[in-house]
This record gives sequence, C-alpha cells and structure tokens, in this order.
Amino acid sequence: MIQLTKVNKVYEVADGDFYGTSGSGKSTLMHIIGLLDRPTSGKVIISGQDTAKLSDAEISTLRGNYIGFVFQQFNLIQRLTTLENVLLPTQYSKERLDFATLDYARELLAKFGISEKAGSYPNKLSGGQQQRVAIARALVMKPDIVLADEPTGNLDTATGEEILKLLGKLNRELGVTVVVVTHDQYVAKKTDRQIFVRDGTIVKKY
Amino acid sequence: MNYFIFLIRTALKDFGRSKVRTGLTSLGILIGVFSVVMLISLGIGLRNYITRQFEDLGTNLIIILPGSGFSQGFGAGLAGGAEFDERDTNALRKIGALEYVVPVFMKASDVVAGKEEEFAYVMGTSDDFFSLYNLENEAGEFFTRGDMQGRSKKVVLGKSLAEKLFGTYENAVGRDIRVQNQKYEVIGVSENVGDEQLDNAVLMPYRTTFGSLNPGKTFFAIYVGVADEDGVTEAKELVEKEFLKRYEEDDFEVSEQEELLATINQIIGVVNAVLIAIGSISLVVGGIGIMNIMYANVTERTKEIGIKRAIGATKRDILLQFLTESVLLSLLGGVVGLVLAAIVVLLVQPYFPLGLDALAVVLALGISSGIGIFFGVFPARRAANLTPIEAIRYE
Repeated sequence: MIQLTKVNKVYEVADGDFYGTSGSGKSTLMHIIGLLDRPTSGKVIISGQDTAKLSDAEISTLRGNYIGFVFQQFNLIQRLTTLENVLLPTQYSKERLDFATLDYARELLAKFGISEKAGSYPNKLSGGQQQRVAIARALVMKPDIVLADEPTGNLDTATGEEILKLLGKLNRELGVTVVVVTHDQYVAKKTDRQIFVRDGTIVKKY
Repeated sequence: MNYFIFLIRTALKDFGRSKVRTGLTSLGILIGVFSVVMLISLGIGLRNYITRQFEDLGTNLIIILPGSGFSQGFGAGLAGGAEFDERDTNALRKIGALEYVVPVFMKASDVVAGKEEEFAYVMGTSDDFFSLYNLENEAGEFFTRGDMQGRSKKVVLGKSLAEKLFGTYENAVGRDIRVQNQKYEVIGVSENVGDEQLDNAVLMPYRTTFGSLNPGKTFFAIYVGVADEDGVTEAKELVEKEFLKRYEEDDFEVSEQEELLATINQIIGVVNAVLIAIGSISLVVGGIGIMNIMYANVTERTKEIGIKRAIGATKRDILLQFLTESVLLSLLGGVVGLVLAAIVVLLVQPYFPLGLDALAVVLALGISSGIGIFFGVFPARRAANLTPIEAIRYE
C-alpha cells in the first residue's frame, strides 16, 4: 500500500529549462510514486515506511520489489535478449526470491504471446512486442504496482489498444495495481479510476 | 557468486559490442605489462648469466686483486695498488688450507700465425688454472707442471682464437704463433666457455712470460682455491694476514666469490629497478586510457544506468558494474601482455638465460587489476551518483 501525504515538488528552474511545460506534473507525480524522485516536502509512505528516511540502497530495493515501470520508449536494454531483459530486475534483487525466476519469466512471455522471441534482441521486435517485453520485465519481481508512463505513446492505435487490454487483464488476473499516466482522454477512459492533474495539482478525481 | 558471474557476463557483453575499442583500450596496459615483465625477466636473465659464469669457477674460490678491489667499483681493482709476484704465491703455498694457488698475468696483445694477425689476451698462469676453471681440452693437451718449471714456450689457445688464426681448431695443434716477435708452439686448444677473454686467450706458463712480455715478473691477480668449501671465510682471513705482512691494507683486496657475486647482483638489481620504474610509466599511460574510455562509456550509457536504477539497481550495483568492466579491460591487457612476454622469454632462452618468476606473474596481474580499480573508480562513481530520474531522461 502506497500513501502520499501533502506531496509537493518545487523545481529550481533554470533559463529555458521548464519542466512540465508539456505536462502538468503527472510524470513527476509518477516518478515520486515510483521512488525515482523525492518530493520537496510531504511524505511517500510505502507499507507504513516513510521513504524519506531510507538510504539509496533501501529505496532501490523497495523500487525493485514493489514497483514495476513501463515507459513510453519501452527502455529495453539493446544488448540483452528479450529473456535477459525480463530477468534483469531479478539480478539486482538483494533477497533470494521464493520463486523460480526463469520459469516465471518464460511464463510471462508465453502469456503475452512472445515466447518465440525469447532469444531475440529488442531491435528485431516490433513496438508492440517491445512494450510487451517491457511489461513482462515490470512484472517479473511480482510488484504491487505497475507504473506506466504513456505506455501507448509510441504505438499505433490498434497496438496501443492491445497493450491497454493487456494491462487491464493483469489488473484483474494478477491483482496488480496499474497506474497509467497519459494525456490521452481515450486512454484514460479505459481505466477504472481517473485523476486529473493540472498545473501541478490534482484537480479532479473520478 | 551468481551476482559476481552476472557482473562479469554483463561486462563481457559490453566488450562484445565494441571489440575494436576494447582491444585498443587494453593495448595500453598490454604494452605496459609486456615491457615491465620483459625488464624483470631481463634482470633475472642477467643474474642467471653472471651466476652461471661464476659457478664455472666454483664457490670455493678466493680472488686477490690489487687496490681496493670490487667493493669500490669495477675500475678501482684494475688501477694502482700492489703488484704481486712469486714471493706472494710462495708464501700462500705454505698455507695448508689452500688447494690451488694460481697466479694470473694478463696482457692484451696481437698474435701472429703465418699471415693471420689477431687481437688476443695473453695470460700467464699455472697448470692448476685448467682445473680451477674446469676447462676441457678440445684438441692437443694442456701444459704441465714440468712445462712450468722449464719455462717452455708451449701455449694453449682458446677455441675462438684458434679458429680465427688457423681456420679450424684441430689445425692449430703443433703449429707456431708469434707474440711480440717471440715464437711459441701451440700444444692444445681449450673449449669455449662463453667468456670473451678466455675464448680468445693465449695461455702459457707464467714463468714463460717473464722477460719481454712481463719484465716486472708481476701478476695481475692471484686465484686461490680452498679445499673445503666451509673453510672459505677462514682461509680468506689467513690470506689477508699473510698479505698484511708485506702490503698496506689498501693495496690489495681479498674477495670471496660469493661476495663478488653479491656485489654484482646488487648493481644489477639497482639498474633493473630503475628500468622497471621507467617501464611502469607506460602502465600509467595505459591506465589513463582506460579511465578516458570508461568516462565515455558512462556518458554513452547514461540512459541504460537510469533504466537499471528504475528496475531496482542500487548505486553499488552500478559502481560494481563499471568497476568490473575497467578491471576486466585492464586484466585482459595484463594477461595477454604476460603471455606475449612468456613467449618471447621462451624464444630467447636458447641464446640468453632470460627467466620469469612467480613474482613477475603476480606483479603483472596484481598491477593490472590495481590499475583497473584505481583508474576505473572515478568513472564508476560518476555513473553510480547519477540521479535515476535525470539518467532515464537522458537521450
């Protein structure tokens, strides 16, 4: 369970360096939830722990264990095969995992219909396939939350649709909370619950 | 352990991506390690070579030289000090502990045989000289005690000199040579021992040199062989006591073989250390090359670092990954440099006793991994300290 209390982020803005001109703080909100960024004030509490008091190593471990990221640009590592990309988070796990990671990774690839691509490198995959690999990577540590930042932004409408269906299915079948950040009304309407962010503040919740 | 394998596999994958760059970066360390190992093996080789030369003489040898001998540098023994003569050898022969007393007179001179004229070392010595040096005769025979007494004009040639004068060494026996217009008969040829002076020597009974060759009837040095190897130090004291009766302390020097060897090895050691220090400069240059490439790697892979941080990698994970890479790069150069040096050592060994020891191997590998760590840690820290959010936004 993740709680945010009075989270506020103040930016030091240099000339020509305007964060959030294209956005309104939604990506920042996601980065703060995902522990990639720290709030200027306020608290991020994960499983009752105030993350402000944790060391870099502890935060990194929490990030690995509780949160999975899906990015607009897929962000796969080009030198690694599909399977190696999916398994990468398990390599950084500081605790011994109580499940067979290789089997689970293969199971995820099978579930997403990309089993035969296990040995391929990302540049041999289509955008949709790459995003599936990225989702498998986000899931391999069995996280509580998957944070997806514009997951359909680099995909055509049909493929984007499939990815959104897949994320919805994960939420229902695996019980993972999926947070999708988007500017696209159409994408937003596919979710159970929407939060509007404008000029850095939450203006509306559905 | 698994994590360790993961780090190495990741590093190797990164090398595979840019083979040329990896090769060139390692080349710096390769050259450095190669030159340092070669210099170490050259030092070992020189030491082996000199020790071997000395071993031919045996360790039960005492050398008496005029002046203050080797202990104040090579030149000191050759200039000034006492001139020894038969009174000294006769006095030494009275000391029971000594097995051989071999005087040596030496003069560089041209030697003529028919139309051939060659530069040679004329040495006047006793018949014991051959046993002292463990010399074998290739042809003919060596002069005897009888020849010593009779001042006979019989000489033994070093094999190199014999071949230069007579074409083949077998031809030399029974022929005549001229030294400073005196005629001598060649009765034997001694084997080559790899010593420039001995291989080109005209050896004759020392009394035969008395006259125009050696008007002062003096000796350049006296070699003393001790019967019992454990008695060398004792015998040396007896010799010193005997010589002090006649000479001042500074006029002569009594050296044990072991001491001489130690002095020479010390000099080689110092020279070698200086050479290795100079050679090490290339290791530092190689290390800077690695640092340079690693900084470029960090910049190039900023986004990747961000992705890895997002999926749970700690600062330490990133640091270790880059450090592993720089150590492997450096170690790769070190190992290849070491192998190349070993091959050169094996190729040269038939001609010169170059050597490799465990120290050189440990040093080469230790230094190259040390360089990898030292020059890798700064770029690796830069990588580890990137904030995840900035790294992942980097394009």
